[in-house]
Amino acid sequence: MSSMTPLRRALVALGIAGVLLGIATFVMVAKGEAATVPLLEATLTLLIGWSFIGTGLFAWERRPTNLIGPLMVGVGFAWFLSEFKVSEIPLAASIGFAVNSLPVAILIHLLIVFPSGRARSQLDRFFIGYAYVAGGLVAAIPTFFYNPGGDPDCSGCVASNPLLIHDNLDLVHGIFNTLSAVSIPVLIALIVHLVRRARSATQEERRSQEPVWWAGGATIFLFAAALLTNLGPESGTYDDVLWYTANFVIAAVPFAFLLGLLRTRLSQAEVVAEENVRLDAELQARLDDLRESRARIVQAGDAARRKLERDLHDGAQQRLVGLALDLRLAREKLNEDPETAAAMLDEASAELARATEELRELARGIHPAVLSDRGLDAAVQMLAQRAPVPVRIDSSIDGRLPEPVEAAAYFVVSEALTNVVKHARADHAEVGIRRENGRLLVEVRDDGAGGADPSGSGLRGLADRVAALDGRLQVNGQRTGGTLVQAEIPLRESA
Amino acid sequence: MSRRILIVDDHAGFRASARRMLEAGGFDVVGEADDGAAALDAAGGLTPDVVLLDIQLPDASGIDLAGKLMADGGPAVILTSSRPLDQLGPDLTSSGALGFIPKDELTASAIEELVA
Repeated sequence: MSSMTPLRRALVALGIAGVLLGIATFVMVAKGEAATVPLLEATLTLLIGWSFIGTGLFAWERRPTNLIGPLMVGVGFAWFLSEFKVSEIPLAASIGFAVNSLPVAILIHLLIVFPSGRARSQLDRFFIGYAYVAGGLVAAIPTFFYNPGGDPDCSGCVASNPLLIHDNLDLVHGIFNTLSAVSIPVLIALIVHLVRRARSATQEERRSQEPVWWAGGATIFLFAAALLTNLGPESGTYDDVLWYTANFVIAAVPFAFLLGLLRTRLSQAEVVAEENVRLDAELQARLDDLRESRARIVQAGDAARRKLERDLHDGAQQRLVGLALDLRLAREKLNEDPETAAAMLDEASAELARATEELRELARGIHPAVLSDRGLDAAVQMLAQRAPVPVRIDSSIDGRLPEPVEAAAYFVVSEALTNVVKHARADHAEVGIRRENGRLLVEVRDDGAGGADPSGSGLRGLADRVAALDGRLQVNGQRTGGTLVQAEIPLRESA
Repeated sequence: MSRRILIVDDHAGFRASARRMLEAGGFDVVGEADDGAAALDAAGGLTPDVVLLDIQLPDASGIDLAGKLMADGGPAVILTSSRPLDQLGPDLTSSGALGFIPKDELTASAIEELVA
């Protein structure tokens, strides 16, 4: 029990209270002499009370923030209490008499706010307010002026009313008749209001709410009819038939509610909502991935520019600076020591050639001209030629591909071959490039030591570059040894 | 008596060119150092009159190093770099160095002008 939430504990307590109150009410009604058919009426009462409380607790537990559950439970308890009116215990009977209309008032509230638990308009609030004022307050007033002993119509009533302030049977009848007369048009207006709302409901709303509209509408209609017969001449049979019918219908309301609830649970809307939650989570994860990869791409760009500046500064620029000094010195020595000057000029030429080669190498790393000029196939062949291990190329690409795809594929091959040379101690490598199902598949396989680290900065950067084109990069160690780098890049023209 | 000079730069190629240039101009190149730590060692042991100091060393900033080298009657320091002045930041003058010569404008006479 200690693992139960406070809400759950409260609901269990309410359930136990409901069961006990139901049994007490059943005994009271079954033993009472007010009912025409005591056992039927007692069973009906129990059925209505328990079904409201039971379904209400179920709804409360499932949707703790929704008022529907508490209202359902409230109807059930009020229903039992109202049946106290047939009790032989005078105080119980008085209380039952006072709260006689309360369950209907709560039921009306329930019908109006189903299924959200919230009033949606001023008119909603008016009907709810009216239900509580008329059914809860005004209908309780006669309790204080009704003396059962002095009522000739009351057969089997308790002898006294402990809540009696002043015996005035005319006032009691006056209040009830006025209440009925005013309430009938209000109830009819409410039915119209609910019908109009039901008609404007979406198909999905209708599916879950229809059972409740029908049962609730019928209940209100029958109570209105019963109130109407109160106004007419006394005709006990009609009264009884109407009240019994109304009671049966009201007993159906909580089950209609349950049906509505189950329908909602199983409805497409909920499935879609659940699916949406799942998709939202996936989307969020993908967004996070994208955000991270975007940040990495920016960082990689910054790092590449830093490296480029460093390479230029440390490489060609130093050579050229040294060259400038040497040329100036050679110029000074030209007359006094032509031999030294000539040697220095030779050295300067060699240094210039090295600087030029370094600049070329650097430029190739930034972007290979052969790729822009002649496409992926030619560029990959150049990579293979420059690699220190034999590289076999199996490419079935003819013509040009979208520029970003060519660049991504080129750098995949370039980085993979660099890794082969640097880390894999491989004897040879294979490069496969082909189109498949609107994607470009690039594979670089070697027979080396394997153990490539996909989270290393080179491969990570490649994965980001490929992912930016909606593609995927996989790096696998192979069972036979060696490493397999695979990239799949969609070939959308817009890419 | 020719001036004793220490060349501090992490690029061997530049050190070699600078040495040729300065020796041709009458300097006595007493040593070379390729980072800040080696520069401090060499300055202590070789007691040069002048240190030609690259601003960007692997382990130190020449601007910071200049003050340390010149402390306690140390050598005069002349800063150099292959980067242009506008890439080197605002506080060259606060270093206490005698002056700055871009690497590609280095000559023995440029150093003489600053030291004299």
